[in-house]
Amino acid sequence: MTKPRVKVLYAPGTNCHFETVDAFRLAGADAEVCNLTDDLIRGKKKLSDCDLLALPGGFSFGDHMAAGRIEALDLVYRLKHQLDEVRQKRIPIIGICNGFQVLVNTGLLPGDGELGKPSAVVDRNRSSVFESRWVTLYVQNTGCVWTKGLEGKALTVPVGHGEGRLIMPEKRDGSQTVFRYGAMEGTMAYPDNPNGSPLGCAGICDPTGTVLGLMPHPERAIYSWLGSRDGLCIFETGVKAVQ
Amino acid sequence: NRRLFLDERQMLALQKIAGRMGRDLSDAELEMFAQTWSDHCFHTTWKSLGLLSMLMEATRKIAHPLVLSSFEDNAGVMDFYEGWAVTVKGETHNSPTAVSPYGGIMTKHGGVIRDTLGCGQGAWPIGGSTVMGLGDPRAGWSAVPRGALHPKTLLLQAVRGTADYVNPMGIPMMFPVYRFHPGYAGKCFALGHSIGLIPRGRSAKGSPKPGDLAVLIGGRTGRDGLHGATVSSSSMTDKTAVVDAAHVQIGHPIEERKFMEAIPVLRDSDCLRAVTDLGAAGLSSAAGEMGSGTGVWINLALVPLKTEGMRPWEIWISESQERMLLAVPPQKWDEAARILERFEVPASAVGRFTESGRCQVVYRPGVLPGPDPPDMRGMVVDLDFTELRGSCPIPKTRTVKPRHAARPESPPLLKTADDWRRAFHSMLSHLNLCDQSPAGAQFDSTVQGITVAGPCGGKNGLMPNDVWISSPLRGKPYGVAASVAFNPLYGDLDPAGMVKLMVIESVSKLAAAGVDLKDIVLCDNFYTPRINPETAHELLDMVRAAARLSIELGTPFISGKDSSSGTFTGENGFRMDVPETLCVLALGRMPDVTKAVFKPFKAAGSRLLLVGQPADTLGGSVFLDCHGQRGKALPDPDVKRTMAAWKALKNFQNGGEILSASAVAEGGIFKRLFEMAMGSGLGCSIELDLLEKKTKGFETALFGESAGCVLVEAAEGGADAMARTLHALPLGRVTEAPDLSIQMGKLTVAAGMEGLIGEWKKPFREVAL
Repeated sequence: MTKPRVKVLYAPGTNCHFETVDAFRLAGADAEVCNLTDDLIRGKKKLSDCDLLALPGGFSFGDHMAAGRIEALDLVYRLKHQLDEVRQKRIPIIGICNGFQVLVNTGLLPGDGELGKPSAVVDRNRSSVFESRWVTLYVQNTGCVWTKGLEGKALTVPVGHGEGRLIMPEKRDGSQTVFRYGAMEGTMAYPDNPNGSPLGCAGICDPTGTVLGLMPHPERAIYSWLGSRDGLCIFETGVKAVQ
Repeated sequence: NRRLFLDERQMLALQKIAGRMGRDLSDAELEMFAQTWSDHCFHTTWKSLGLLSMLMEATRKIAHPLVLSSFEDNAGVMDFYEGWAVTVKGETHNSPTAVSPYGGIMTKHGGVIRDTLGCGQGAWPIGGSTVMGLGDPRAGWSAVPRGALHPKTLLLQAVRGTADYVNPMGIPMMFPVYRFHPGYAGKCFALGHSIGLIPRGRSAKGSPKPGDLAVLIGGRTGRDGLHGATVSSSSMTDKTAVVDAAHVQIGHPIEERKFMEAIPVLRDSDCLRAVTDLGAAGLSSAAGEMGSGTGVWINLALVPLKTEGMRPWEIWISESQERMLLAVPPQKWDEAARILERFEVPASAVGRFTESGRCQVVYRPGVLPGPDPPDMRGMVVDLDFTELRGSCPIPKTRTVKPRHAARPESPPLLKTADDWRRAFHSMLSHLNLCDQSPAGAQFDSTVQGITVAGPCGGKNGLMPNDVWISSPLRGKPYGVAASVAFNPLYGDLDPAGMVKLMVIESVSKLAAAGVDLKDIVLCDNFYTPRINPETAHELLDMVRAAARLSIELGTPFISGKDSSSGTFTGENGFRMDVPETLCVLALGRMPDVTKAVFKPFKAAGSRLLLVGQPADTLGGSVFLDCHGQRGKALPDPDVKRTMAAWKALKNFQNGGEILSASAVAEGGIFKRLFEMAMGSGLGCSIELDLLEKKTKGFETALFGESAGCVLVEAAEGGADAMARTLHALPLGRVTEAPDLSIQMGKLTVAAGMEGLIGEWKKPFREVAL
């Protein structure tokens, strides 16, 4: 069986690409770092030439303007055709931390609007400062390809972000919420919920279940000696989904 | 007024040099001499006392098999496993931080990270620290000299600066350490460490060959950061913030992060013959140091600028941040340029290395560094390197033994259980001991996915870990371990005694976690008041103590930095000195992180033992500081006995018989018991009578700061045999109930953990963090 190919997208300021590549390799995939400017915008590689796409954490373009904004603009405007192709092929996407912020800024998440028209905001933490801690995530019952079979589990993973409070303008039924902080029904108690995200929402998927975004870092919990290897199952599930 | 900060002897030497050259020195040359000869770059104070050579001599004598590079490169290098090596550097940035804390702290981190990137042929940063010494942030303005910033301003802006620089860099935080002492209210202490990983075969300091291109990468050059090297070498005054404002630079982490990504790729493609960072004195220092073995020609007109109209000497000494200088073999330039373009790193070939033995700088728009002999039209600098580096007059420094006033030591005797409980509360709410996680949790400690033990851990995630452990070779359990010791209270009492305790404390923290003594090296950062005969005497004593101790322990210093500018001078002859300061970082390696021993108690019912020689004095302790006292003498542990105890402990660690362990330091065994209980959600029941026989006094038993001692938890079964082998004192047991219960003769003092944790959490939150 050939290994699924994963592209881990790098833009200047991205800083979690190596551990994300490592997590996918450990999960049985063939993962490589793909450079947004040099590989994609300069046309050396194609975004859709993979089985899984990952947008890792960091501070893309310094997070100037807003977290993830500039990378999202590049994806939506300079790489529009390639992004359309990724969507047509229904290539599963995972966005972690800054990657999640990018996905929300592109409009791919929550994913009920148009590309380039974000319908949600990942706002500043309620504490107003960066939060580096460990949290427990409760996997909700959704149709997300990245968490199939993990429903009901509690995963211990780190967070590290200054802007992670997901605000959606209109009331939703929660069917797209993939992870909640602190309890199965979510919590607002700080610091179990590190950013004050309503209903303890830590991650969401799009209506098709192929695009997942989350603030915590499962790729930092993949070896027992790091304190937890709970994060690995998310990568394994994604890899299994395209095998 | 050029703000050169040269002394009279140095000025006279410059006149002689100009005489020998038969012409006046140019602006840029004068500036370059001032930078090169500044205390910051040339370490004139340390050289005059022969201090650095003392530490280097000790390191040579130890001839440690793991040391690959010491005191010669931007960082020290220790061998690791499987063809890799680990680098360490600690750098202070006290002067700009005291004046402009947000910018000063950002550039502190940026600078020490570039030291890692500029070590060998370029190392990859895997950990960083921030270690600060500040005045009391709760103090009134009367405790703050006129012209200095309030410690609360410094603290808040320093925390913000660290978060805004280190988090975007994606380098895990090892130690956020904040310590408080009234002497820092004039000029603060601002230290940052950086640990790096590099292939062993690339870890030797590079040197350019004649013909190599000098390539400037990173940010543009501007007027920010003029005179950083010279201003920081002098005292801070009430005018510094105004007159020398331009010496503080502005950090921009995204620029640095881009070349952090590119440098290992350049290195592994053989594009780098040498690499160094632009820090103090900017291009003049970087090109000067890199080219001193060959000769170098630089055309300043090729340097990309932030603003037009900069004068050549300004370009030459600007300390604009986020820049590095590379020596690239000419045949590799195309490939290097492609790699730099891929990572969006601006790069310009601004000159080349020559065979002239001279530092030659011109300003000639349009003239590229070609293979022809250097064209000296538009000359800015034309100096012989031997003149520049060799002819600085080293001042003679007289030393006089300082006379210290006798210090009272009369802490209140604790009689009733309530007295003791009040003492617990005042200890835990002391700023140096309290929960500092409101600051520390703002710094990413798990990025890179390699952190085994970050700044905090345990059940509630708040217990200070004391030892940072990382597993930088992905998927493999090899560990880099580090710990720091920094305690300004000791410096007041006995500077040389403090040095001994700092070295022992830092090493014992690693020993407690299971690192073998032969796998440990050290990094020193001294910060002392401006030199006068008395401070010179103390400094000499301190460095002697450090050298002696490193030899006794067999743990060499491989990197470090000194600053002798810890003095604030104000109106009417006002002078405020910092306390004699030393921070020691111990760096170790361990073959298997899964065997590391951590602090939280493991199981109720197991036994607690104290290994090592307990302190028989409260001198320098937090307990005395709670009563405004320092005491008469610091603890003076016997080095041989302490080493023997660590060695014996190692055997039990190898056998997996130590369930948990913690090295005793500030706050005595009391603080350790509190943390071990908090980290586990358990409690303990302690009997102090046996220990009291040695320490003469229950206060000393519980609060004495017994550096070198390790508190260990052992299973009931083997505890007696272990106590005999380790010559350890039985202290008590771990309990299910989350209380500290301490029995002293007929008195039993019990305190619930929940209440204690509440007190411990308060102070930092109350200073608005």
